[in-house]
Amino acid sequence: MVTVLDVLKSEVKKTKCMAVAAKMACQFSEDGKYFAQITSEGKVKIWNTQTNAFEQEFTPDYHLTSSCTCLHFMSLNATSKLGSPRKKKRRESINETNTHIVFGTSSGRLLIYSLLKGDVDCIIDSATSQHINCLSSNKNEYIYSGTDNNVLVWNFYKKNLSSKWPTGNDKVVAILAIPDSDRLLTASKCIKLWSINSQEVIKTYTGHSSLITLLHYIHPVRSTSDAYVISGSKGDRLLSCWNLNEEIDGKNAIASFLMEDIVNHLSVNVAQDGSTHIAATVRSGVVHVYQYTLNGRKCSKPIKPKTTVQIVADSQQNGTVSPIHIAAATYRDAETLCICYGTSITQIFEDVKVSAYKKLQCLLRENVLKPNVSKENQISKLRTPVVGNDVHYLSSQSSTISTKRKNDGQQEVPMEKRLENLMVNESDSNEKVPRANNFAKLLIQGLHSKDKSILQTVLLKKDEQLIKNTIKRLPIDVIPPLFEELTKLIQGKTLSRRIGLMWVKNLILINTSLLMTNPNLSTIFGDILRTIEAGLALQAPRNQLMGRLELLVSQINNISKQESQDYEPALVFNDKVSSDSDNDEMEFEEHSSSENEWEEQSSGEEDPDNVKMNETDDQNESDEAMSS
Amino acid sequence: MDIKVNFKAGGSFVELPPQFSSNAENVYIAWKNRILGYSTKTGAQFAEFRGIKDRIVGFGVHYYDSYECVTACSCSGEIITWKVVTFFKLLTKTIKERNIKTFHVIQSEGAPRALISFKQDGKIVFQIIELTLEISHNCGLTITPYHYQVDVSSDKYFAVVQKLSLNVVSFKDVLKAYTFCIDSPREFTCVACHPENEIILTGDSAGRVVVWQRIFTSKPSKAVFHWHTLPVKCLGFSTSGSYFYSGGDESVLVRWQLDNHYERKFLPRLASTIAQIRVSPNNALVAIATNDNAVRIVDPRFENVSLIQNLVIGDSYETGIVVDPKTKALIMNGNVGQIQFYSSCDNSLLYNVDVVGQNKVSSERNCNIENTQVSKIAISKNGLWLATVESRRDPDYSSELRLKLWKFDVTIQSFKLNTWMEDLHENHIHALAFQPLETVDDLKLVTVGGDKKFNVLHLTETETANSKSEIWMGLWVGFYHDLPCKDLSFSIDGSLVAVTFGNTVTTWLPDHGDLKCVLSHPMCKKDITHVEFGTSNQCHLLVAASSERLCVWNLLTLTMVWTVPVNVSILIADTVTTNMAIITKDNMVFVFAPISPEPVFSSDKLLKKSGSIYAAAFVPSRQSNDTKLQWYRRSPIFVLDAKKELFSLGADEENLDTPREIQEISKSLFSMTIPQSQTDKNKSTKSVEHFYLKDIGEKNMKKYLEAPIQTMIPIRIMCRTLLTSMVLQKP
Repeated sequence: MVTVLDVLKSEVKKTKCMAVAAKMACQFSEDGKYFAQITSEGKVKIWNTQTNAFEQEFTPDYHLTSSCTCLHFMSLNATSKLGSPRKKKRRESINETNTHIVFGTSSGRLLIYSLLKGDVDCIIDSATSQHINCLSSNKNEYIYSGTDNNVLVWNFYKKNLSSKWPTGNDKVVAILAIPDSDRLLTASKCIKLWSINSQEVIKTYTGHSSLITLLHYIHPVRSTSDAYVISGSKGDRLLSCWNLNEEIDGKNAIASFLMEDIVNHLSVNVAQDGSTHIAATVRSGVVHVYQYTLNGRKCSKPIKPKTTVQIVADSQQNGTVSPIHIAAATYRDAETLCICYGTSITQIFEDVKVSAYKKLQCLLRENVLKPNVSKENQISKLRTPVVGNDVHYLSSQSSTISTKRKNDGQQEVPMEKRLENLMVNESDSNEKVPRANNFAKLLIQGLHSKDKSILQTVLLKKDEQLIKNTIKRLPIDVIPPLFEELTKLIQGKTLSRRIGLMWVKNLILINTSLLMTNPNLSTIFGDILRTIEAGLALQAPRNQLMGRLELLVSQINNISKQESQDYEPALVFNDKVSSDSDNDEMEFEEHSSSENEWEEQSSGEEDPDNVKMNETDDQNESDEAMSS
Repeated sequence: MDIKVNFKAGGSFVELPPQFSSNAENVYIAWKNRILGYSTKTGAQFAEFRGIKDRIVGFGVHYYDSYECVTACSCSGEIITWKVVTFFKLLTKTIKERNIKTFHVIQSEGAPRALISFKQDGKIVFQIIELTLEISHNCGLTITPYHYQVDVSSDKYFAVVQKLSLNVVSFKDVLKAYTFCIDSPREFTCVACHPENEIILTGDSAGRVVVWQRIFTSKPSKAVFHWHTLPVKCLGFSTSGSYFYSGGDESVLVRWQLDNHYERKFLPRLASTIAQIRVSPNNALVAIATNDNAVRIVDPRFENVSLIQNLVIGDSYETGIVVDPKTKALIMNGNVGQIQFYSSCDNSLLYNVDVVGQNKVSSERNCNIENTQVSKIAISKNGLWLATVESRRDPDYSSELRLKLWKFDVTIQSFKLNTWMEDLHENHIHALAFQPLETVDDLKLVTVGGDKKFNVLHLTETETANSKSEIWMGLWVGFYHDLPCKDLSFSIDGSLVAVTFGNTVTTWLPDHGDLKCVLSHPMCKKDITHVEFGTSNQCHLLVAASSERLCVWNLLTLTMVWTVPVNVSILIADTVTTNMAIITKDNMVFVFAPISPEPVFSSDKLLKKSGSIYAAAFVPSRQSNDTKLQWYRRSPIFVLDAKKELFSLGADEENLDTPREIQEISKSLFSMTIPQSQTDKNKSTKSVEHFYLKDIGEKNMKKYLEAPIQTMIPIRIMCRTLLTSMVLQKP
């Protein structure tokens, strides 16, 4: 019977603890580099907030029977400062950034997890089976934890339970060791200030109506000013701020902050000028940012958030906007918040600049259902940026070609085509198309519909008179789109460029005054000018190449002529007389011709401008010329 | 002023092979004058063994007094043994020989011994020393002082390769050396000994691995394993010796079966040349040290386990240091074709971003293949646009030059390629910069090229069949008198851009391309290489620097305000204060405000010890908003020198000391009170209890203690189980 009752009791306790754990389950490390979270399945997940990498996952043994209830980051860094020489010596060799996480479990055990080893360093058993509800430390070797009715003090180095004292009837659900003092705060519905040395209550603060889940210490700006603590509870939608100065009596909060839901996570940043920034992440998944200067005076009205940060996802299909839950947020500096958002499976960390002027800062993010970084990449620390289909590929000649990896956009059939299809086209074939001396109408139509074939039929006319006529009849408002089309034309290959330039030339000649008065002239002309510039830059080498080619081609032509001339008389001669001396002569001539060839090549090489590469080009060109 | 040079990162991790602990949980790496201990599982550093002054030439992990120890030896003969668990020095000794070249711990049961080699009278001498005693035995092997490689096979023998010869000496008879030769032109490049048997592997310059057996006879048998085309750089035997690994410039790790040379497995596309290979004693892991200063831990199936990497050391640091406004990370060149994001706050590598997107092509035997390198980086003020310039300078064929514009896509938190521009300039892009505006629309980017022109690009929209998208397009091209242009700078509000042309500085309106003014002075004769606008209340001042002088212009009056003759190699401007800094060719540092010729800070000593400075930048610190602090606390200067080491010029930092100034701890007064070894029963490390060690006896004990007294079994029945459980508990 006894055992059954025990089991029942422990079950009840466990469920209570899980409720607490849901709020204490996550914490940022002191420097904000890591974020640890206890998930609902009893695992602990650790992320690196800077690289957005899911670095470690730890499943404690017996994680279902004695689950982790709370966690707390401890860095050995600070502990080594209180230094006996022995420790100083130790410090020589231990890495300074040795971070540990302490987990409290529901069975009264404390697990010390080394972030660097990725494993549990040791377990301290309190030998009481009390649930550890909350943890805190004071930057030395002692870790304070609250259980149902006790405060347990653990020694991190000696790995034992160093002391414990009862707190009365209230269950301790939140605990906070006040830095650089021997004071400790424990909280249930009210907050008690303890002296650690004498284990006595010094002061009690009351104000919350339900169990307090969060205590956060606010450092005094100067050593002389007061320190504060801020608390959040399970049922109130208010954060309360208390003065920790023991000389001031008054048990009530000096300021309270209004939230839209109950608090899940708190982060505080105190600027040098004394203004305190508070970021409270609430259950509904938004972050409230408050700014307030704590000066010891009471503020009766609840303070409203200065800014609220919210993250939403835009689901493409039905146009609805779904919120993304923010799990926690911590200050990087007074203006930057590191925000952790996503689902419990995948969390994403992002540094967000908080703008002080917007009441609601809404960020649009993609819904994170799949992790964007694969496991493989995390280990290699290599990230491959996205190269999608919508990349614009430009060269110095052109600026709008993006065809390289374009998905095959199926072009819609324009209205003209469709109308054409409806009509009987017999009459078309019979009648001769009347010769028009301008294409203004067709061009306007083409420019409006952006139909390629129409534009091509118009724009690829080489007749200059026709172009002039067309331009004269164009209305003013189609000139900018015409320019765009001409830009594309000019960026094309030789023929289209030549025609494009003819169009541009005439357009400028006819519409000079109009263009001069256009304020957007530079943007209209910019592309064309750049292309022309790029073309001009190549003018000199192109001329060189052309000259060289002409020389080469003419030489080759000459050689072939010479050879044929040589050959024919040789044949004629052979027919008539057959003597050895003539044969010799012929050989000699052949030899001389090959000598000629050699000379040409060498003369080409002597040219100082002639780069090797050009020569190979020339050779290719000449081959082509020969074949043609 | 308490400005110090703080060493941040850099220095080779991979000169010596990494060493595993016996359980393969930890791996030790020699770095400068220290040994670093890393966890193989997480890749995190857990220990740093200091105390040696000079460069470490060799170290080993071994057992001494049944404790795991690390022993390292420096080139000047200091030997220190640390106990791994406590980090205490167990043994410290200095051997009289100087010029130590190699040091190998001989793994054996008895007293620890080591094999050293040093230069004496123009020859390399090998010696076996006892670490605990002052005894040393000379070996009967001396070689010429050229490059050589040594490997030791537990306590049986050691092998030395040099040029054409392989020398084997047995520890039983150290005076006799067996020498074998190969024919030129092949040369030995590396050697590895079987841990148990008399089998030696050698790698040669032709890419062959030769297995030597029956080595203590005059006619050894040889077997050739040939896959590599380039010289074999390193070899590693597995613990059992049934297979081995080889690696080289191909960046491919090859695993060979010793009995069958057709059985081989490859791990291709490693980031860089493989420098060292080491297999863990339990065969579970392989450590691959690559020349990009990384140690990769892989398991025998070639699955990545972890990566130990700090600052990536690439071939060049052409891009300089650019500060990412979003993450406050330093963006620099990394591996070939990649840029690294290095966090200055906690000195760690955040990630590499592969901007080129091409596999690295390794060179071939007779020809050097050029890879595409990232040559310039610029990032917009809001951190959303990243511009990278990549170039491939092939001496034989036409070179390539590409500008890529990446947009940081906030929804997927990754950079996404937006525009790709080929050959924007003819041969080179000297500098590029975004308009320093927070706004996103109509942002401008100016590139200064080697074709004596500068290009202004702007962000516009382009319309395709059914969608609008952002695109970077050319707006206008500027040039001035066919003078070469080198650098540019935007004014703080982005309304004016200054471009240097020869020995003049010109300012232009970026929107229309109007030339506003041309600044030149007969005193300035050399080409101006750097130009920067002043910020905040000094935004009307323009600082121009050349290899002969630094001059400051007032743009309101178009006059030169002041000038100083100095040979400037780097000019940088701070973003949080009005300060600027120059670093001269002879490594002098001046920090000044443009308004006054009186420097805020100057030093000719700080960087004296470093080589030439490659890059520098003001990097805003965490307290950068606090105007009360001194400038060097708000934004210290980060400097990258020719040895590829990263320093910061700033406030003296507590934790990171420079390795150049070594504090000798063992000589201080405090250390006199500390024994070499200390045991404290109160703080015994035995309290490390693991889950699986949870005592089985506890259950019996509990049964005995917790059972209700009335239901308890008679004690004589329980007695035996209780006692046995307690006996078993003892470790």
